[in-house]
Amino acid sequence: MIRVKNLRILTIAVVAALVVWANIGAMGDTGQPFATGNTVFDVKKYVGDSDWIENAPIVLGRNFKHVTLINIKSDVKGVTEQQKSSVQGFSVQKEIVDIFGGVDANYSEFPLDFRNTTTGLTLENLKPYQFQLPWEKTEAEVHCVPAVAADCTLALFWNKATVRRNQDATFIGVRLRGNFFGLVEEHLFEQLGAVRPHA
Amino acid sequence: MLNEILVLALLVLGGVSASWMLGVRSTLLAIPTGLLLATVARILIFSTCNLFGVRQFATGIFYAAMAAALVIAALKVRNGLYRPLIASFAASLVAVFSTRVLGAAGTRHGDSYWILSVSHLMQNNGDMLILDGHTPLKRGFAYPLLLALGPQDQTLSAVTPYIFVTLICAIAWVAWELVKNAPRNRVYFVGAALAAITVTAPVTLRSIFYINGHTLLATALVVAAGIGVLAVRDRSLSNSHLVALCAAVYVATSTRAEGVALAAIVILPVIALRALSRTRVAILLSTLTGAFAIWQATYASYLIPNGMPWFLFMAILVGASVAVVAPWFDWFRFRAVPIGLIGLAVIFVGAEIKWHSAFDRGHKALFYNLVYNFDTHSLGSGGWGLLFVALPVLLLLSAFSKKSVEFRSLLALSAMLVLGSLISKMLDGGQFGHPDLGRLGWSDSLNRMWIQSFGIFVITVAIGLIQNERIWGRTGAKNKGE
Repeated sequence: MIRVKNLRILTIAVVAALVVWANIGAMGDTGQPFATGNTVFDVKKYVGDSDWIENAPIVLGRNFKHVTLINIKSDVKGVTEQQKSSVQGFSVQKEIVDIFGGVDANYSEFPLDFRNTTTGLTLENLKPYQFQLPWEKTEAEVHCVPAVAADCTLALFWNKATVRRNQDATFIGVRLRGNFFGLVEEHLFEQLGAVRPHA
Repeated sequence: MLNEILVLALLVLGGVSASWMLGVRSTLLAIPTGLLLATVARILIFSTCNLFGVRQFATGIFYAAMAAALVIAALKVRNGLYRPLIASFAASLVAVFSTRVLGAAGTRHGDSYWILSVSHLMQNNGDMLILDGHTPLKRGFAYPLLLALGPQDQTLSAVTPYIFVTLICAIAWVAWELVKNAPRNRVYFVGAALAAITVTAPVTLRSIFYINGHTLLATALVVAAGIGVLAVRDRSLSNSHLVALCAAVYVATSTRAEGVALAAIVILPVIALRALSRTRVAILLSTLTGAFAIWQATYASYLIPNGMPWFLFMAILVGASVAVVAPWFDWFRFRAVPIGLIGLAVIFVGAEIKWHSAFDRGHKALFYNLVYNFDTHSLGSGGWGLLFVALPVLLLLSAFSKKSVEFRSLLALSAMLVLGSLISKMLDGGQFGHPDLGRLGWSDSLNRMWIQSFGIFVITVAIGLIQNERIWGRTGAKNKGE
């Protein structure tokens, strides 16, 4: 048996007791270490229902038969040195598009700029068509392109009356305000009077 | 659930059987080594099938290999095999029960989603060339491959908590091997104290179900470091330990991007051993570089220079590492530990100076993570509670005494792992244009990297305390063998 006649042994015991007490207290502040009651094991659903910064193509892929994305970028490809100083667009990761399938993406053009538009394709006019994301929000954080120190936001818009699930759909990247971007379904895009430059 | 039970059982029983057949006759070591060997088999089979364009057969061949290992071991080496088989099977059942019945799931995090996406691609026989960008490189190879063994479109959810079990076994085995001749009362007292402060740290608990390769890498590093330190103490390395060491190095290198650097650090004491034959050192080093080359040849091959065939890349890497065993390098090799320690310190300081001049964030960033993640708010926003305050305090208590060779080796490894993690984080940030040392919060990658090495830190402190006669005086010695 150890007799506590040595100050060092006592120190070990006291340090351990204090740390255990403090650690248990800290658990209240750091939140649950893990969740319980999870019933979702399907990867596409588990990831697609999350608020992950990369999951726009997964969300769209689950809502349509096939999706084409245009006026988007992946990482910083196709950005000139001059453009690297400020936000030019938002990122849809090529790997995620390719892994989950059902989505094609054309990364050749930056989003169309509607920041100075006051009629037609504006955020106010798009609001009725804004998609409720699976995590009960209507906007998602998204990577800016190029990856400058800024926060970018993305929302998805389509008119459920004109384009339905299990149909093919094309979404166009647009810049609506500041660093707020949207992916707008092409029929809605045209319905609001906007014209694609290369259409 | 039945599918998951069967697959995980096959994986763990096949792995444990293989490790037993290869001479690992300790239950505590056979369980982690079994997982490591199964992981190596999974990687090699998948990579080979990928090379020949028949990835669709990879999973079936892996199952056949695991079943064969189990059957052959049952027929040939029955003596004692039932112990690790029962223990590992029971652990796998508990793991499946926790995820599939209780619904335990890790904290949601962007890196987890990336890893799940990569495993989804692997499971669905997707083209590995999709993963040639720099982002997937950070998600690793070994861990998504294990997850991809799950039911169709699902992951093998229970493998994550099972990996944590193997980490606990690995820590227990290393600690026990190093202190089994010490007085029992010291071992129990120190063991209980360190276990209590470790398991109550929030990140330790979080890492049980968190979907990432940290705990797999941690298991590999603890096994490799433990075997290395034992080899230094005993001045010899048995065949079974060499097998386990190579499996650990292979998995560490294939699990996360920084794994190759951390694996190189933990084998330094072994390659510095004069008693070890050149052949064995060459096998160990070529395992390290060969594993990394196989990963790069299978996917994330953007690190292979444009136009260079993968086999040439592999030959250069393996050849360069094997060249280290040439007699001309003996002076350096036998001093690998101090050279490594000084070298890492110089690299870290040099990188800090360089990036401090290039980026305004420089030194501010250095302290950003270290201070804020261990600040007093919530006992450290990094979620480690006071674990990393307690360990240095306890280490100080153990420092003022005659140090054994194994304690000195562990101290050097711990210091190098700290420096190696800091440098890895700087390189990771540098890859994306921000060579700083992290951000506030538990999810910062440097903060999570400590999951990979905390086991070695805890073992170091445990050995230091238990072996310090000045702490225990005659009281402890009197109880030797109790």
